[in-house]
Amino acid sequence: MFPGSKDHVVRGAMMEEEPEYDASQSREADLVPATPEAILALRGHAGVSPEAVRRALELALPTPGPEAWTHFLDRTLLFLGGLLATSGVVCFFAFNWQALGRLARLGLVEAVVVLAALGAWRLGPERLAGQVLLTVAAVLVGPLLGVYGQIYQTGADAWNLFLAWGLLIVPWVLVGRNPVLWLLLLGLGNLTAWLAWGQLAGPDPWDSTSFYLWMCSTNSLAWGAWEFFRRRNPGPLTSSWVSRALAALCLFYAAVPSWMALLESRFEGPWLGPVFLAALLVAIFRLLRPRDPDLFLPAAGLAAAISVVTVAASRILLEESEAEEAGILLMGVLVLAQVAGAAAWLRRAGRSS
Amino acid sequence: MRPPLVRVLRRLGREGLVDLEAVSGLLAVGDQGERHSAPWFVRLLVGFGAWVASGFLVAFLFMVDLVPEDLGAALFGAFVLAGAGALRRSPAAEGSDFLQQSALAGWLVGQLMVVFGMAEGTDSPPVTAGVVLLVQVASMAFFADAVARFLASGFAVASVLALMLHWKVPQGDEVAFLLSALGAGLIWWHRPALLAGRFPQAVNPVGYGLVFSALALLALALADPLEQHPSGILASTALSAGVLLMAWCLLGERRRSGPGLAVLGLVLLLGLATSSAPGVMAAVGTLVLGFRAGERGLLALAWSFLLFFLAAFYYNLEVPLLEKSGLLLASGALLLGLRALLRRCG
Repeated sequence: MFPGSKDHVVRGAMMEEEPEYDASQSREADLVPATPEAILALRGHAGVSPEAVRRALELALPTPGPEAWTHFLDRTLLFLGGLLATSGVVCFFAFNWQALGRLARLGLVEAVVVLAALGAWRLGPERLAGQVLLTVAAVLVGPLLGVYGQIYQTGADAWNLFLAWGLLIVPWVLVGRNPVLWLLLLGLGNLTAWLAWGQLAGPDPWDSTSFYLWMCSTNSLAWGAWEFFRRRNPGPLTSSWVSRALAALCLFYAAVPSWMALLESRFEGPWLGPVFLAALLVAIFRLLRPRDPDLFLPAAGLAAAISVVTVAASRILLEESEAEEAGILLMGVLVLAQVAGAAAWLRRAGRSS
Repeated sequence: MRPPLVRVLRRLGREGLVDLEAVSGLLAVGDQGERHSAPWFVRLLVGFGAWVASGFLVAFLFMVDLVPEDLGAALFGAFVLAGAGALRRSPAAEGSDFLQQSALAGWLVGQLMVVFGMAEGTDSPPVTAGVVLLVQVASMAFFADAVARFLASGFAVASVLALMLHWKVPQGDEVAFLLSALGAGLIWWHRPALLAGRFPQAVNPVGYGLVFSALALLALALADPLEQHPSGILASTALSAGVLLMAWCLLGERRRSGPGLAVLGLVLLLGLATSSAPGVMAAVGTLVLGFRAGERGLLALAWSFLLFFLAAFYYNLEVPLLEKSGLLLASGALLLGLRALLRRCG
């Protein structure tokens, strides 16, 4: 996703003179990367001189070659130039905004969106420049709708704008097959729900357990659908960042009502929050973990579980116990023990992957 | 993406630096070392947990009146730091995550005690900041924990900033930023040599800590909560000089060729165009260092910071909107134009 972050960094002396790899060697041996940590572990070992460690670091951390630098320069100039130019355009519009007439304001933003979309169509979503232009067009649909609402005083609520924005860019998201666009759509959907809930359903979403559980359900469905389709269609949709974002949202929406249930009272308040959280943890550890070595999902699940256990313990040890000092000390030890246990599990899981 | 360790070891064997027969054994040793390193989100979880635990522990110490007053608290904190350091280096902690987390939490508790004790006992900000700075330098060198070293570099930068502000150094926040940027640049540029040096485990966490702190300082200067009204010229000039020097070194023999001169010219012009927006050159410098070192974390940090900087720059009132528009458009056009030119030149 980021310019220069490809495998071009691994070039240079290692690859130029290296003979063909002996296939009779164990496959496992080839899986251990020559990270600085791996090489530094050899320091002081019998038969490994400081010069050998220095040379190993040189081989493991080669500086990029001319080809890699050219590629990096090309991508960085494109991304950085596009970003700065777009920012400049936004500032220019902002400066002249009051002086522009209605049609000029609308026309300018529309023109940028249309040009970007045409450019993306012309270049195609297979090319990076096409993806960048499509993303720019999708992002600018929001300001376009904002300007429209400002000029014509439609009286629409903010959630209407975000809903319209999300719906309008759906075709581009499907065509683009770009994780950034999917993340944008995810963000717009969640934002729409937050804003709409308060106006249509009544209670402030921050205080509404029902809202969190509803959001957990819908995001979980989206997550499930995403995992289903990405396993069937590997390619651009295999980006782990969309999964991670969906998982983090689902866990957040399940953890908050769990805290609320624990803090309000031990015997009052809905207990669906912990039930949802438990279901998510089962999904992460039982269904996804065996198929996906990414440790982010288990780490996020453990963080959510730790937060709920800590809140429960604080309720018992601090509010309902009379020995406050001992309670505070026990809370510290409990947090340490939980985090240590989580870190140990994640390290073991990382090794077995 | 790194080459396989077995290839590196066999290459060392062919060069006569290690015994080829011993490669399997060395592979196992290296594998163990690599497995101990954890992804960033695991370290984030660990660091956050240590903060929360140390908060409870500090509260407990104060509730039971175990913390002496004034300089006594600082001395108490120093003992706690030493104890945490010894615990972290002990063989028992190597295989126990609980002991490692306890050591980290103890380190944070010791830090808080030292700061609190020195501030109350001496009532002298420069003395407090100086002592805190020394503690951070010692932690970076000797406390064998990546999260602690990352945090220590941030605390060190904060101490330097406090000193600059206390002594009313002109553009003090920019000076603090430049010092941390210089430190970060030197570490990442000379990383292979530093990894073979005396404190190899400290290189990456301190390098990341200094980059993060430098970018945070730049963002703080933009927000200007202390009303220092930094112009950004000092930071921009120094950053442009730094990036120009890096480009000069990287181009090597090609620096006098057409494309080489074009790149050097671009850096110079970009530095001039963005003199009131130092975040751009800071991001460019971080990108170059990150790509050279093969560190995706640095690349991600640079792009994230740039997005944040541009958003904050938009709301900054020191520079008029039209001027912002001009410099950003000119910079963007310059970069895109150079890309087209370089592509045409093949």
